[in-house]
Amino acid sequence: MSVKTINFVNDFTDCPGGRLVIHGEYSGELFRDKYLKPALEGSDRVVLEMDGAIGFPSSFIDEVFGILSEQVGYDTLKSKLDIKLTDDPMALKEIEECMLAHKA
Amino acid sequence: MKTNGWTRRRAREQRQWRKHHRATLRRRQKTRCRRRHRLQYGHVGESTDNRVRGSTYKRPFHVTFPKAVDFDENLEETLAFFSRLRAAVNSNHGNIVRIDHAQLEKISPAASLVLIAEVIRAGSLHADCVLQGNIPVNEEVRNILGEAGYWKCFSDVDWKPPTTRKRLYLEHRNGQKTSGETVKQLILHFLPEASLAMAEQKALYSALIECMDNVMKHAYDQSEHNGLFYRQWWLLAYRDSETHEISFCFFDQGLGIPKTIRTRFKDKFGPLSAPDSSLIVKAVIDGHYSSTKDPTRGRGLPTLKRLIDQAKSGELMIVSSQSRCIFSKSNQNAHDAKGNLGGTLIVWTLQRS
Repeated sequence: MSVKTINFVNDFTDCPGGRLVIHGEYSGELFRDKYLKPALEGSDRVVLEMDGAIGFPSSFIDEVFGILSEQVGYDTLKSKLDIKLTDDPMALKEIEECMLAHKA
Repeated sequence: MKTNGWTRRRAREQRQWRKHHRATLRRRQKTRCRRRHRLQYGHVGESTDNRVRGSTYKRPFHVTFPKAVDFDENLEETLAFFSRLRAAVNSNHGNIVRIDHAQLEKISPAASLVLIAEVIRAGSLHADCVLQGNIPVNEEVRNILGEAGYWKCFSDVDWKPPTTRKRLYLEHRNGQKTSGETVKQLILHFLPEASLAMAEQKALYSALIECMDNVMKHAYDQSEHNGLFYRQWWLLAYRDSETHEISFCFFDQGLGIPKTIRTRFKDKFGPLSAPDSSLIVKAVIDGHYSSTKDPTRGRGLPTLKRLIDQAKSGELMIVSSQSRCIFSKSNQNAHDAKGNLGGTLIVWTLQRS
């Protein structure tokens, strides 16, 4: 079973931006399309380490996890994606809400 | 020897010639008088402020500050002043706009930010517009404007920051994209005074990014872009070592929250829709209106309100179009004004023990 680990701060940024690429740098759309989705398609399991970022805007979370939940399916996403986020419980809760809200 | 017939014809010709020539002379005399009057006194019907002697070109348009420019204490006059400034820049009255700072005695950081935004917009959108002015007499006003970065908009202004300052400003930032780096700098600027908990820092970061993203998504309507809108956000922050408060002001020159809500959710409102201020209140308390009731949308303003509720004291003021709403820990106040800000201003202030 192949496992890919993505460290959000080291591989992407410690200050994520807004929703879309046209809105600015380090957007949710960029992270989803360039990092997370290819990793999910290329591996059986993806571990996403999100500790250390300065914050996670709601629109960023929605664009990454909500739209991904629609694209790959909530059940698939839950089974393949392991999120490690210990320093921001509010953001973790929001991620779960987003994935559920966009459940296809 | 002249015959009688020839004499009568000649006399008739001379009479006609004099009649024609008299009309021309009268016309020329009138034009000469009008030109002399214009040179001396300016165009008929203009205000006395616009009189200039000598040249008929580049007649300056004067805009005078009121004594206090503060959205909290002097809302109507402040809105009226910014309306006059915008009108002066956008109109064809003249290429020179003279801003008279002389009687300005008080200006809030938020008003400084809006002023900077208007001045920079004027310079960017109207290449022919030249802004001139005098330096305010009041030292505190000079310093607030200087710390915000206002004097950098003008050439030949020699301002130096005072040696002792109780308020440390983060000079204004502006951008056309959402910038996490800018918000990070703001939070780092607050930390020496505020000692925000990790959860508060993250919440504040998230809320500010949401404000910027909203500017990209909703604030400016592409179909209404007519050259006067400038797709930017503006940000100013300070920390105060005396009052132990931190504050930021965020401004955009878009449609305003009430119009954005009405445009997006027009089907939900009948002809007698709620007043503007109540739409802002609902956006802060409940989050933006969402046709899908999506819990992930519209969290920026409610997050800012929640941070104030959790602190010792604080205030969230939103001035959008013609409305101002002030939220504190235990109170809220909404007011619909006569003037129009021409955008949305968010002022968030937190006081720590």
